[in-house]
Amino acid sequence: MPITIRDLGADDVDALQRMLESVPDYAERTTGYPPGPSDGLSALLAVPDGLDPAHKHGIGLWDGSELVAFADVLVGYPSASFAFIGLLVVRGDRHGQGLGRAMHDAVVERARAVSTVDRLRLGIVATNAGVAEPFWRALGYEPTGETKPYRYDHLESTVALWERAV
Amino acid sequence: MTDVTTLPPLVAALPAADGGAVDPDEVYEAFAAWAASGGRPLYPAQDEAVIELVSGANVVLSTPTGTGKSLVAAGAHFAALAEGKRSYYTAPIKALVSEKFFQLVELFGAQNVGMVTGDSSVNADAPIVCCTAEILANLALRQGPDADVDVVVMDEFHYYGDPDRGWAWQVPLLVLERAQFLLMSATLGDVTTIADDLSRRTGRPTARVTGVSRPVPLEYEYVMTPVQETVERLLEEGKAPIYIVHFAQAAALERAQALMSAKVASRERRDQIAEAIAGFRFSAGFGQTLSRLIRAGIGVHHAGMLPKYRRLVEQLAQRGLLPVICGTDTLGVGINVPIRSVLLTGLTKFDGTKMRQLSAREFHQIAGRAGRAGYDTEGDVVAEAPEHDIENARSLAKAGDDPKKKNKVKRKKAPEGFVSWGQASFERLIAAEPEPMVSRMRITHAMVLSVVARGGSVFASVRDLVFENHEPRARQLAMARRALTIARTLINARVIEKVDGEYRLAVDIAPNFALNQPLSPFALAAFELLDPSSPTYALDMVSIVEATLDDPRAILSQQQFKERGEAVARMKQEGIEYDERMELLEEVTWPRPLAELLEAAYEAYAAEQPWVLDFALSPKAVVRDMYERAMTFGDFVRFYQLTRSEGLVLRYLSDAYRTMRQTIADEQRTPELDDLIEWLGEVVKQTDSSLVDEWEALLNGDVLLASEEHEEIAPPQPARLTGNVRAFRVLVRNALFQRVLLAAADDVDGLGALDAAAGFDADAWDAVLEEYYEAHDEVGTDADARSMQYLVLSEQGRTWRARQIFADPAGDKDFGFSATIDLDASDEAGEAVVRVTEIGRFDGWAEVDVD
Repeated sequence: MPITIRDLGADDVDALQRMLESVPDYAERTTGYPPGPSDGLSALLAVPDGLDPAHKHGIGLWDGSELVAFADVLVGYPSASFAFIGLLVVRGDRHGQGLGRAMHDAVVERARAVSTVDRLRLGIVATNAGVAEPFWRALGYEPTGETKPYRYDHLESTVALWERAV
Repeated sequence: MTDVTTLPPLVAALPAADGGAVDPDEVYEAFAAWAASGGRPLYPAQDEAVIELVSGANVVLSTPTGTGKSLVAAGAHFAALAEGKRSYYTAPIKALVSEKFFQLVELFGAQNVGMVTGDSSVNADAPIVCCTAEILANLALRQGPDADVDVVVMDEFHYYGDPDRGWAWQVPLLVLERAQFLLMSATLGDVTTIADDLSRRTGRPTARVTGVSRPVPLEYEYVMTPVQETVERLLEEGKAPIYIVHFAQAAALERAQALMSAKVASRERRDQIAEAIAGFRFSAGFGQTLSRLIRAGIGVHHAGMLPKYRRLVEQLAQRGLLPVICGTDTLGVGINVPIRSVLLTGLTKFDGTKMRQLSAREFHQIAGRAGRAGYDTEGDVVAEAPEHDIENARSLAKAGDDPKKKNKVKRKKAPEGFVSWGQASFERLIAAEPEPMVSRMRITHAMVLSVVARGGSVFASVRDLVFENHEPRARQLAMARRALTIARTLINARVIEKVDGEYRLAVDIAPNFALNQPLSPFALAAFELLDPSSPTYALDMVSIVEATLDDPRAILSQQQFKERGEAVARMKQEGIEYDERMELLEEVTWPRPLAELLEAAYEAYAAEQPWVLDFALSPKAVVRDMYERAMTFGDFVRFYQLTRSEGLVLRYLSDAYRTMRQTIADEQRTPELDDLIEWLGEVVKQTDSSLVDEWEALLNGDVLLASEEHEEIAPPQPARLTGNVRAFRVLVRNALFQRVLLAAADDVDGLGALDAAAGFDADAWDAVLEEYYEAHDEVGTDADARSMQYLVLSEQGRTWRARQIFADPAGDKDFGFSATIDLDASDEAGEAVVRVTEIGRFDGWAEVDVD
């Protein structure tokens, strides 16, 4: 079955929640908890303070009606020349099939459609670095050297900012 | 509001439960028979509503004012009680809640009725509970659908559309799906959506009882005569009592004073009034003005008045003694003032940001008050044309038929920015249904926290609250984002945590934490920052409490105005240029003691208790200012020109008093702080004891006493002022120190005004101060200068003696004044009566009789 690309709407929150629950390790590493019931909603809706929610796009790779990968991208964040990838995740039982790269291609395409954007940016939480860094490096991202403190309840860490050109 | 209290106790009419089950027909019969036996058989609309209620349906009762909604509410409580169910009554205002509480106690007996407001809680486990909408909403959030609430009566349900408070009317509808609802208001508009939604949630049919014709029909009239002429005509036509509606408190009072020149009340009526108010103590200032107006048959009624004056006007109006009442448009909500005619001075109002025409809801809330059920055959609603229209029409009429003259008439234009109206707008309002109510749901830290405290599937519950409410989709999404942010904040503050995939409380939270002075826990934490040995400790404690109270806007803006005036004078003296002065002036605000300390502490506190962010910290000094300026209530009101807002000042002071009594623990008290609290309590009681006495009686669980206090026609005489020696001593010291402050400012006129009657006029004080300032540079006014080091006080018998010494820099202590304090006169006056006996340098004085 061909993989299709479609933005998620509010009705897709359950599909997203199921997919996030299929990769419990990610939540464990970045929050110290297994996936929580609000994770799907949060990935789909939450925006940083002050950003117009219309600038957030939740893009999905769909295999039929099954969501197999998800990325959210904040266009024009933290400033007009950036697109910020909040999350990029592939369904737990579909790793190793090139879906991550395909998902990223869709993100790049979305960013290219906005003329002001020339950089892609994302943050890697230190507790998730072992898994995330090789993936992003392979896609051409480099650390900017900038890091910020990161906290979720008892988990205290840092987040490193990485970038590449669109 | 129907006066149901005249009916015999309803509790006696309860049908006996037959083996636990009660027959709805029997309940209905019993209620209808009881109503009939009291001489008020149910109207068809009441009948229909009660039948629906006993059969288990929800009821939306949107019938006009005067159609006896209170009786239907009583029916709902009656049916619930008969079936052994728990019923709640909610109203938007504490005063209405307590009004209803006392009414229901009369009907159902004290053991069956409880009351919960932010301030007090009486018999909260009773089968019938009266509370504010916020209390019930909080209960619903905290306990969820399983809450022990079977029947909910929501009065003044149009508050559902209130931008700030509407959420509290919506939450019970969303959460309490097991309950049966009775929603009531005179001005609901189309409620189809809400009713259908309610049926779906509760699984009960929702009956709408609406469109009932008024028992007293209304006549409408648009007039082109000035207000005074209109009033005189209405009086001649026997259409009193007339309620003249204004859209500002100042306008209401001005109109009342202007009407003094009209003949409002007959000689006979004025004698009746004089007799009715004999013995009522009117204080100086507004009280004296009101006394004159009332004696002429003119009442004034608005929210800025002291409760005792508002109540007096209501009582006199209920006895039909006041032909004219000038008031504001706030009359709509539950104030029991029977009137025949409503005269609207305009059809526009200032809504806080701009002038606009009245909404249909606002119009009908006011117009619906006309016509007394069982007394008048019709009610009259009269609207004035704009003043300039009236004047133009008159000038044209004068010109007669002569076209030349007509052309010469100079037409008056509307004032700039005037939003006009005309007969067409009036007719449109008369015909218009109230606008449909708009959902005002919101989500706050406190709401999320309450749901977490409930336990169970917290996420699902919050999600339902956010997505299954009455808001449009886009607003729901925004609320979901807000809820997610709140959850994240609460987690990072470790107030909540995740346990087995659910949110749970990580700390103990008191059940009503967000309702009863929500910032009190912060105040408790902030108290720890103060050093009890500091000379300003007591006043700093006051400042912490004040920072947690709601802002009394009118007072603060007057304080700011005064501060700015003083700042300008200072800057002019310093030769600062105009532009710079204006710029600097922007930064001058009302006094905000401890602002820096408290704001830093608040930020640190909010990092751990983020829900406090729902409430704003606002450093301010009203109590402290009054104390530091050594003022009485009257002094303070005069000084800041708050005559029109006395009621607001009193409410603030009584909030401050209650909060201090409830929040400051014994171990944090010092003798000075105790004195200060006693003083504040006495200031409130002597000004208007109705608030504090009722509250204290309720706090002690004495419903009977509270009920007596509540029903007292004249306000209860305050206890003897000198009976509370601690508080009285503070009042005396304030009165003495006030003269020290005036001497320090070299204000001989101020001193003369106080003491001329005792033989020391401005000249006398001037001579003394001239001599003093030759010897010394200044008079000290700090905490030290206020201390007993500079005061000799002999408290013997009914005449105290005092010597107040000026704190001179050299410490010579050679100037000051002596005074006597007449305790009997003080009791009479409600404030310390101080008579200065000697002033000047302390040599050759009569010995003060102290060591």
